[in-house]
Amino acid sequence: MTAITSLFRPILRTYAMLFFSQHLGFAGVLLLGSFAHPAAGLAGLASAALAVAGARLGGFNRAWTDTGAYSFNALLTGLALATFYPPGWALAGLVVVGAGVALLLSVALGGWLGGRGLPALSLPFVATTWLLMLGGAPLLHLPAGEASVYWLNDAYALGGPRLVALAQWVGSWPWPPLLASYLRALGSVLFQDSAAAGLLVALGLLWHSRIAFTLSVLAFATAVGLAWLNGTVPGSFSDYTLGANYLMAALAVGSVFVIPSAASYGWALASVPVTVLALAALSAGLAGLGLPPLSLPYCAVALLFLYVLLLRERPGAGAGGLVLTPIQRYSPERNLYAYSTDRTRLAHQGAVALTLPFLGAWTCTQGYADGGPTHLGDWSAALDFALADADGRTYQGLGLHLSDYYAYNKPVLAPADGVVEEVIQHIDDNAIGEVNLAQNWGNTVVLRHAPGLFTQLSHLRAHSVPVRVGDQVRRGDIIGTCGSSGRSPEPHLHFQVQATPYVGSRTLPYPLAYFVAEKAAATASLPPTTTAAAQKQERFQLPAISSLARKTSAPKRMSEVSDAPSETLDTLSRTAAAPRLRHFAVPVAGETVRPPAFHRTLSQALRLPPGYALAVREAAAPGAPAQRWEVFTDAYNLRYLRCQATGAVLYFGGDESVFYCTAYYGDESAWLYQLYLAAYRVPLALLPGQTHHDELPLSVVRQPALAWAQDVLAPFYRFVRPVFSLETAAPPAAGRAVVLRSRVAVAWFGRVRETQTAELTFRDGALTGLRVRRAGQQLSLTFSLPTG
Amino acid sequence: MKLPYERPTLRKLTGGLPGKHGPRAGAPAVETLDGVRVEALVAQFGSPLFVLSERQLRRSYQAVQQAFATRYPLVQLAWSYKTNYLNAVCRTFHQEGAWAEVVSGMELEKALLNGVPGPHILFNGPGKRHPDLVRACAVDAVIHLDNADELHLLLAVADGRAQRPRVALRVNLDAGLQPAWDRFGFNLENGEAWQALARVVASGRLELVGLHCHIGTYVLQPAAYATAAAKLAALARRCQRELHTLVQYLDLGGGFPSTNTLKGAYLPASDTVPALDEYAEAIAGALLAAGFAPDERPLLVLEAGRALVDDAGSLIGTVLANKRLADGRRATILDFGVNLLFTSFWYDHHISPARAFSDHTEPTVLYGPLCMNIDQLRASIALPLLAPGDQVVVHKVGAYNMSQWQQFINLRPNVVLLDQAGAAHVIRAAETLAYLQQLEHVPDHLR
Repeated sequence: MTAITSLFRPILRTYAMLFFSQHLGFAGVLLLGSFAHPAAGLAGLASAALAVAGARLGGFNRAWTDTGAYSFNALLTGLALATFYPPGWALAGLVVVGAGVALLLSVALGGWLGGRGLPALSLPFVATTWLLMLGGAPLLHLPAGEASVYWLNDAYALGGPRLVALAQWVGSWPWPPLLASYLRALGSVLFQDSAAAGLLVALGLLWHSRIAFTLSVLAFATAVGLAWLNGTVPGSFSDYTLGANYLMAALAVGSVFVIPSAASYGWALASVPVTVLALAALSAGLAGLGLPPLSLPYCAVALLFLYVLLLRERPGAGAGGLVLTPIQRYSPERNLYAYSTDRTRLAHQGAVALTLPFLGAWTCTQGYADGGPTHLGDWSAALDFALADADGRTYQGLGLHLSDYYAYNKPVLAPADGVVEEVIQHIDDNAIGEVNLAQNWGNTVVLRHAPGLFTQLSHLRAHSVPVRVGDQVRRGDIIGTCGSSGRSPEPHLHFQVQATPYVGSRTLPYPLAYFVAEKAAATASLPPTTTAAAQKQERFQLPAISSLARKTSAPKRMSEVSDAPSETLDTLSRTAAAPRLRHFAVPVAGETVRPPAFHRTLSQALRLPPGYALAVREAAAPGAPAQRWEVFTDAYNLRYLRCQATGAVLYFGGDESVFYCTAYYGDESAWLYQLYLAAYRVPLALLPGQTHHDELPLSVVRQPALAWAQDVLAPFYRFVRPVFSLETAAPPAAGRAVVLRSRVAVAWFGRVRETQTAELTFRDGALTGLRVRRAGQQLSLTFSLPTG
Repeated sequence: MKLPYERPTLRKLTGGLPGKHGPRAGAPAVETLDGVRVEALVAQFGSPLFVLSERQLRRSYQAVQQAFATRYPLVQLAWSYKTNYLNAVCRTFHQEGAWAEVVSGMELEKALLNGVPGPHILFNGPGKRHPDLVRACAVDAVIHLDNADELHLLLAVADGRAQRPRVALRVNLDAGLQPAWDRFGFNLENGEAWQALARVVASGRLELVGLHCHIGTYVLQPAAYATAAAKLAALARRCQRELHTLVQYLDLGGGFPSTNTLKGAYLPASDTVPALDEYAEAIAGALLAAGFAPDERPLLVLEAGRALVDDAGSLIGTVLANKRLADGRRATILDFGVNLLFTSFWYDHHISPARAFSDHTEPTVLYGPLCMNIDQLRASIALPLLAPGDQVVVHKVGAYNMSQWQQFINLRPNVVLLDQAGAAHVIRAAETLAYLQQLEHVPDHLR
């Protein structure tokens, strides 16, 4: 019994797969539509079921089987056979054979083309149908022909005169001719010559995807326009069975396999004339063999248009370019929204993470290309750091000796794991105020982190380097101490990233993976020769400003943030002066930066190694059996959390500084989805009063009117922005529990509406609770380690 | 001919540019504190007067934080409450990010009232009582265990609590210092500390989060801290290895010297005391070399007291009278004594006149106003020729004086805080007789 029910979904999905969808509602609509011609519907369903069962028995890729990717060609074959042959034992036999052949070809062609990054589309169906039509005639003495003239007989047999009357009434509905052509073209995907079936398909398509629907209309309009230019009368312009080719080719190259955009729409519309040509040519060419072109023109054109994209040397160049869908989510909207958020969110995934090359809070005294005194031309993407006190001075006392300088002799660290490429440490430190232009870089260590990625740390103290060329260093290892050698009037650290291993190579702009930045109120470092009198004056004037900023920063922010819940975006600018955790950014001159202190409980709780499992219960029903969520890794070493009860999957990633969810697949009513929204991005270092923001994919918006309006415009213009924000519920204490509050808000045209708030509780190194409030409903989950 | 023996003498060399009458000597005048005139302060708040500089409090904190945080990734300062009880001082440090280190139930409550979250309070000391332990558990403070009896008492308190109290073990060890402080905590070398740790973990009722040692006070050898840090780190690693307990923090205590000169020292402390950077280098170096995995490095906690507050406090006093002692020495009587300047028992405080004088100085004995023989502030100091009514400033008196002071013979004076804009705030008002007597009860038969 369970075997049969487990087949049910894949069979249903097979229908949706005709339009590259996994939408079960759409699938239901298509199933219904296919029964407009009952025999065809039945044959299609039987074929699909046979193919799914066969794929299961054959042990083919289970994931592909379950999406219907191996069975939709069989479905099409079944539908087509019932259209060409009258019902009977012969048809039944053909359906069984056809389903089998279609499955084999789906697997074989899928594997062959899949290796080239291309989909098999409905090529297996075309091949199977031709095979049966050509082979069926001599073997079974069955001539292929239009069987649909008989289908009213079937209807009569099934439903008596009433059904026949209904069918005739629907069939004779006075549709406007253009609309009728469009609907019949859509209906013909299911081999139904019926505008009513086409209407069902069209509505289903709209339900599934606004982008796909829009594109189908545009493609159809283009085809009509071409026919009109050609002088063909629009009303009778095409054979209904072939109109689907334009639509499907446009859908495939404009929205499914390419991320929808203005460019992809253009690409899709460009495919229409080619399809027209291919259709005409194939129809003429195959007429001699007595074969219909079926969906071959669509397959040929779509493959052509995709393959050339694949062969580009600069794929997806530019923001509005044609980008091949990286991960197929079976919905143009989801593909687009996931891609556009991931493009910024996950831009640095896999990059070598460089961290600050020191401990403690240093001031960036010279940043990238800001017209600084020494970082010029090819060497502009470099950073200088020095230690300063609250007055912005870099030294104590008179500042006449190296040792008066806070930065002097402070440890300098490797910014990432690597190999020591070059060590220079024989150059004497300069006296204060002097520079050594002859040995510009002074004592220097160059590290190699990856091929073509080197970092250079300069002006080190003479003979302070404990590593040697060829040594392996880990991130955070001490590679020297700060000095004042080379072109350095006072002790400071020069840090640059470069593509070549030579000292003084051209710099490479490259962000730091994470750091805490604080804009200092007064950071002007005085020249070291200031007189004592001037210093005294300085002492009484400068601190007033900086202390004010300090006093108001920490404890107050919290209340400000929590008092103004609806102004997510405004708080960003208001808390700019407070310390902020930044990811993949470059410090700017004047900023005080330090490595973040990671919260141990959070780091431990969200490390989530493969094999880690959680038992999840609703707080209200502690006795009920728990859901088991377990961490797995996929073939690409990406980790995901899988809910064993619902099959939902949550992909996540992160490094030592942040945890973030990257994708969710599954039912949105599953509890796991709540975790996806609540812990979309959790920084592992907590700063009091900082609110962390992130952009959610538009697919989380649950207001249909708003979402649909945005869907239609999405490839061109985005006006709805779902925003995720997270902050600590209380100033972080070193105790056991830490509570984070996150919320999801939807912003459009300046309006911000909160849709959901959540509270995550971590205790003793584990996630222990999740409370979600949404539209007056509350869900409270507790987490524990599964027993046994 | 053999020369007759003469006893050796020590005489201080005074450098600097000579004036008309020979080398300059004595302290230059200090007429302002944080830009505010001493005269004006006395006129407004009276004499004697304690003055605290908020600016210096913050600078000292930031200096310690910077010295350690630039060398070790995880550093937390815990303000040692007993060093200065004034709430304004405590809150300044908490605002800078300090935790609280307390050593009694009273101090625990004080820290809580100052808004310190329970988990940020380290409860130290050899004399914790049952109600103190109950309270500490209730607010989730970390209890630093001092002895086995206390451990047993705490185990009884912990029994039946929903969450295990968090504890750290105070350890005493041989860091090469004499005398070794072995009266606090469990000894490391004789195995007592390990036994206690095993007991704590095995009980299952306590959560071991830290190890603590405090090797002494006014320790002048940074190397001793390196030894202590290395030993403590080794103990933490053993806990991880054998007790499967990750020690979250190592508390190296305090004891860092200030630049006050100890009695009997030949040179001023500013010339002999190692820089804070040397202590930081020693401790951080030892911890980084201890072999912790980078993500398992314990938090370094420092219970700095004196190093944070001493430099920020000054005491302004007024000359009451001058006299000549029987042996001919000059003596000056000031309006504050050892009741206010408790630290004068062990420091030769640096004392400056508050107005400019000629270059003439005279060795002077400084006495306080108490009618007690012990009330001597400096046995000998070179001061200009002060007259009654002149003010003097005693520097670096922030540590211990405002907690160990007594109202003996005189009441305690105003304490003002100069904020960073130079405005003065009274943070403790001068005591009155009513305040002194408010807790007294006179039995009816004596009325």
